[in-house]
Amino acid sequence: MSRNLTRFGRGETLTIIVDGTPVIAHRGETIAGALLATGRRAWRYTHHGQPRGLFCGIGVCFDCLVTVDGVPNVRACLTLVAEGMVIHTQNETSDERTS
Amino acid sequence: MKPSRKMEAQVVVIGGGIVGCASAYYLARRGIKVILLEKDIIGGQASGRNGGGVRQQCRDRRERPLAIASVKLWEHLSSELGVDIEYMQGGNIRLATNEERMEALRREGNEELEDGLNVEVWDRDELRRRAPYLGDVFIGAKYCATDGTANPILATRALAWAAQRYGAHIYTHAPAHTIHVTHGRVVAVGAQDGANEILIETPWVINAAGPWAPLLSQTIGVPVPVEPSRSVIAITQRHAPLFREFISSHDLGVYARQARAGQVHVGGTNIPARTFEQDVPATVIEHLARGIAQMVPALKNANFLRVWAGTLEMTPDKIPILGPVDQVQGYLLATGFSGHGFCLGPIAGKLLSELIADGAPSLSLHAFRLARFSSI
Amino acid sequence: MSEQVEIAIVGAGPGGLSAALVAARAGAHVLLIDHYRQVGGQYFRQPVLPVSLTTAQRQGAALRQQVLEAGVKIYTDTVVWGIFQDRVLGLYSPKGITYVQAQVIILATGAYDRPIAFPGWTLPGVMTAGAVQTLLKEQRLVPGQRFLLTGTGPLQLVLAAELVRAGAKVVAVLEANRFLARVLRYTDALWGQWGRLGEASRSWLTLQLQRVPYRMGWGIVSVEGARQVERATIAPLDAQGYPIAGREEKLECDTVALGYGFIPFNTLARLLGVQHVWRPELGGEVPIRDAHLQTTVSQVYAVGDCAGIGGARLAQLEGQVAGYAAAIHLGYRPTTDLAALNKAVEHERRFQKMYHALFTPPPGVYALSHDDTVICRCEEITQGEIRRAIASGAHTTNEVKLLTRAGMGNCQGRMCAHLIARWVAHETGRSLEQVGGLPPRPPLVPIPVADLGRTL
Repeated sequence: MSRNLTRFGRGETLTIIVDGTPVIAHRGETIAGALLATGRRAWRYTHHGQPRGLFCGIGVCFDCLVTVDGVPNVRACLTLVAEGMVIHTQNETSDERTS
Repeated sequence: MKPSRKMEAQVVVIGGGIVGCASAYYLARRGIKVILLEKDIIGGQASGRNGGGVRQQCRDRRERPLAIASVKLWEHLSSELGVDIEYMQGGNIRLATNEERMEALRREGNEELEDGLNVEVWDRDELRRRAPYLGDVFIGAKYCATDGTANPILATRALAWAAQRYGAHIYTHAPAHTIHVTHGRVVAVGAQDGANEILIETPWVINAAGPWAPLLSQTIGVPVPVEPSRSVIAITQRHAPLFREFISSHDLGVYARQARAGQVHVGGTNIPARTFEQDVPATVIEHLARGIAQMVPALKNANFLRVWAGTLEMTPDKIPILGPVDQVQGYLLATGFSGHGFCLGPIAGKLLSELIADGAPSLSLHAFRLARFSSI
Repeated sequence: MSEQVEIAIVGAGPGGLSAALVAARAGAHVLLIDHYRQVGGQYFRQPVLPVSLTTAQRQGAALRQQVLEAGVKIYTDTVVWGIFQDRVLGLYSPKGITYVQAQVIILATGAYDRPIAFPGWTLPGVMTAGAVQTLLKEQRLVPGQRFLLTGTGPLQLVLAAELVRAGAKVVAVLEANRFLARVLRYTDALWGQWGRLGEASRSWLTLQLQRVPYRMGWGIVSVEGARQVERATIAPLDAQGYPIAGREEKLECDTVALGYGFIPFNTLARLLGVQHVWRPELGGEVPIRDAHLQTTVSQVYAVGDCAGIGGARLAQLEGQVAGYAAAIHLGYRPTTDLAALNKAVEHERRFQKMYHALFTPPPGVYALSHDDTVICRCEEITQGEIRRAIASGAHTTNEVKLLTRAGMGNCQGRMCAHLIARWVAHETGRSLEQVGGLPPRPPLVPIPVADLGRTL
């Protein structure tokens, strides 16, 4: 479980919906920050079914992708939370098509 | 003057694209000693950069029999070469947004049926039913079920690897610079291999150097009327499987197909730019984006991940130059595929191998002779 | 239809901000562009709530204020996705797709943490030191409970101390280089670097007081866990940085922070056609520049970490040099004391040289992965597949990409290209220069089709 540095205070609270479940987040957090703060490390499955979460934290590695308000492949580490934001984790596990 | 390393071959193939590699493969399989010279890397240009369409429909009538014969080769190429080149017959849909285009497609369809190619013409309802992912802008289409796609770079490389297994020698980063002709007959090819010079004695040369074919050909007095043309492709990020067909619209000016990995390839059909340059202008990128959004509305939320350009070589009549020339014996041209050569690669290579090994190709190359350009 | 500016500066970190300030004060019409929602880059990253700012954060805020007062136009949340004829930059922002034509371009695109591959590196819980730092600095968030830091360089010390002060448990800090013996050779480089020495010493003290093990000459070997990091295997390293067999230890942890230096962010520079050379001691491929930091493409300058890892101070100084040169080129008269500036640059370069001599990741760090280790994270291509491609004739990074799909995924090779290049060089005996990198193509970040198609 991650810990926030509560002695510095947090921004105002707001609610985001993650895979249908309401989650409390704080203004100024990124989606990645909000997810990590709930103790979640992984929120995406690659096409080989492997779990991924945050790796580079600055938007270069594209591991942390989520679907936001219907738009897929959004980098969670760069995107600020907003009230009522609907987030879906991405499960990209596929059986590759064969001829 | 550095002495040349001397070699011998029965055939020297210049150009490591799909046509050159297919030629090397079919020749080597017949036990013929082949050396292939590629100035950069195998499949590094058009053959590795194209949209991957393996298409019989919508061709000049003269090419049609070659395309049909080539698809018969494509069908077992993966197992023959021992590499999964991702060939699949997902079908090809040629779309119309207006009645004039539909009429043209119907006429072409009738001709294709006559020539033994099975195609279907779809009206708007049939199109909705068979390809529901397409945008509303289309009023109908022509469909060919035995058309398909393959992985361009893997297909080209697989032919090269197989050629090597049969004894062909392939030199990359080895630009050919001189074709030696004595008494009107090819006798040798000079090339640069790193810091060394190589000289290959050979009675046969196949010039499959794509848009670079004229440069070398000029030196032996055989002008080749092809012009370079920039073609651009964009790919999206991986997307869940949406469609298996290769789809194309001349009216919108784009074509697209979804690769096995899920990325959608989007190319332009009529953005001419007679240049060797491979920079991509912003307007072209925007055109491709607009086109795919209209063509497959579900991709509006997709992102372009990468855009690249390749260089096609265009003949005045947009069909290839394939076969021997009057001016020099032992010199075969295999170029001018004008942006639709990927499908024809295997058959072109096979026919040239037959010409050399058997004295004549199994399909007539008369329509593709250089001499048809009588003004040169 | 493009917006016209005199100077476009890409990247608003220490380098970009400094260049903007000098040029704008001289009278030039400057546009400063940053892909992030606020200026400052990594070094000056501001927290969400401006409470308890560090010295660096205060400096950054002050510099930003000066830049605004000097009349610099700033576009944040704006990424440069392409570069076209006549120095036209393609921009993407909440406004959509726009174009800017600049007479001079200054690249200050910074750097990103160098990823190192080892078994288990793709497990959730393994992240870069920069990722941990960013979460701490900006969101005041500690992204784990039991931290293992592995890498090289004093930044690890500082990060460990920050974590400890934030209440996290740091199980160990592993430093790959036995640098202490060698640092005494560089007293002249350290002279004047009191701020840095002070910070390092304070961090060191914090770790000592909390009894955080700092192991010099140690490194990560692998990480294990079912669906996330559960434990790490570490080992002492030989002189070349290879783990010494038989001396492995296991540590229970849930977060592993990789601090192996930085890779210059040079995709835009290479897309522009700027000639680069391979300088491992500067982080990778760096642009060839003249005395005024102009690259081989005229009217294009490069400053800061994107031109060679050198830290925030050097970036600021280089920014001033390029801002000065750009202003002069446009006919303005900046009041910079160039001689003093160059002297300060020289001083920082000595530090930069020392830093790289002491803290370049040793070769062994690149040999931790096995054939079943994923190297290309995006396309999940393993080391074995890459080596098979090399064995089949791929002799450049690009050819490996074409054959395996490594580098074709979302990050376009930013994570894996340098690892692939080393493998190609290793297996073929060719130099990194010959092996090359991956050719950059537009768009430099994924751009929505809907936005690209909306213009015209």
